Amino acid sequence: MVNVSILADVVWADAWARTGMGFGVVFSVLLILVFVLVAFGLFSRIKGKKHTQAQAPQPAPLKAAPQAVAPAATASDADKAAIATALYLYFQNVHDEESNVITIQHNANSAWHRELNPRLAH
Amino acid sequence: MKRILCFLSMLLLVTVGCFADSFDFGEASSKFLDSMGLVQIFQGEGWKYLVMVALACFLLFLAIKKQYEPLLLLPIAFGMLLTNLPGANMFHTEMWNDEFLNPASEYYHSYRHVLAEGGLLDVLYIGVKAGIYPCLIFIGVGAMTDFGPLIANPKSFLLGAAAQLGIFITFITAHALGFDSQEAASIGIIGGADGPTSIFLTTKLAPHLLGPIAIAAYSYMALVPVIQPPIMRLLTTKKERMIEMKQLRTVSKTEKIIFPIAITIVVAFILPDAAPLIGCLMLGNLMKESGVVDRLAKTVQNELMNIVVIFLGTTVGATATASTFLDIRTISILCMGIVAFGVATAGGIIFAKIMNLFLKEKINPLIGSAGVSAVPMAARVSQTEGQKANPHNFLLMHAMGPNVAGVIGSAVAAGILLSMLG
Repeated sequence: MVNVSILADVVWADAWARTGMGFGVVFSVLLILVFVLVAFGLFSRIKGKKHTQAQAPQPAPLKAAPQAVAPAATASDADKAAIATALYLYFQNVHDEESNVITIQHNANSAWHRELNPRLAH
Repeated sequence: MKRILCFLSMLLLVTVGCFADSFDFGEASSKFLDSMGLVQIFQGEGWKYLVMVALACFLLFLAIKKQYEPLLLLPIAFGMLLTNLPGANMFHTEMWNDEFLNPASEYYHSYRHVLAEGGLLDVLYIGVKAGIYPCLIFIGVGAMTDFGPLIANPKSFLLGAAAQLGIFITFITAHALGFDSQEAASIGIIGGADGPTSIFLTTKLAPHLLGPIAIAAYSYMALVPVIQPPIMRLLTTKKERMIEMKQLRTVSKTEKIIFPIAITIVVAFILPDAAPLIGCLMLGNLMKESGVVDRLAKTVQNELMNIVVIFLGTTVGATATASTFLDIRTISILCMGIVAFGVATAGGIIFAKIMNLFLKEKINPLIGSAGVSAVPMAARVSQTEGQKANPHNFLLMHAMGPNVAGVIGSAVAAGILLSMLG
């Protein structure tokens, strides 16, 4: 009975209007932001493309190899895979550990040795 | 030595004898006993203190042992403990409710009175009351957020918007349960799964419900990995969950810098009430993305954020006093909080499925559930559920789009509720 009276007290038209308006405004604002971002993304990609074209080397007349036209900064899929594998191995610590100590094997019969010790030359 | 001790005992006896008329040992003992917290627990409704202390200890257990949002739950729970220690008077609820918020009182909206008469927690609470702490936290959140996935896939904004359905469905439900419009809006915002936004709106619309709402918001945010998966599995088929999405495009630095400026301008022009939250969020993000104020970006991410979290958590916990918290309305707020989270999750997933009817490149509906804010936990849940269905599925970055869109969406929802009801 109490619940019924509570439900009767609510001005439903008002509550529904606020709900509809509130959700509608949230959706509209975020929809506007979608358009803003899409427009901005398009603009920036077009600008980026122009920039890349301006930086790319001039295509050689007919005889040039196709590779020469490609922008220098792009890497092939195989290169990317190799880099990714190397990074993966590096972070997994799979690589051999080097001692970083350089050793010189002494060879008394080498040309350098004779050069440095003239007495042995004869 | 004996002579000295004898002299001192004589002196003591004479002193007690002189003051015997004015000093009533029985009265003093009675006063002391009355002031003891232990005695107050057994007087009148003192048992409520005991319940609140037990509840605070339970929340501390969840924060420490279970690690449920410990950064916020721990200070909130301890603030709750401090405010419910009988006789300690750490926080004066009556000063805020009967004087500060009462237009008939001579101390109506008087911060000077709070500074003069209040305790430590009262003074720190001014930051909550004035809506300062949530905004400062938003600067830190902005500095820690990468909006790249959202910029790369602007459609994510729609999923973030759809997930705000939880706020408005709960708003209507709260109305039906007898809460007035301001209270219903404050309860509904729990569905935004965004603690600072919930606190910001509640302090403006229904400050007397701040304790239960903050605790519900943060507790349920911690429970996102428990609440969301059953709803996600219920609303999607295995085939849908297996959908693999194309890798997102690379976002340039220029786009990342212009994004916060553009969003602030657009949102503030349409909805000025959302400007404090959105403005602070985007300010933090601009600090990070511009790359020219690294020191500021690091400060807002760490020192500022941590200090404000301590102040906010402790004072919000302090508002959960026995008289305001142990109420049937609190239980209904906690129940409606779960409804809000559930509906928000469902709203995002269902809208993703609707979008799939029109899109050439299908999206995995699981990313829709990340439209509730709860960054980055909701996105992680999408990733986990996606990988369960298809081990080759990597949804994390795709889910981050709706996830950060949800933060913006809930701030916008708070703005519209504030403009309608504030």
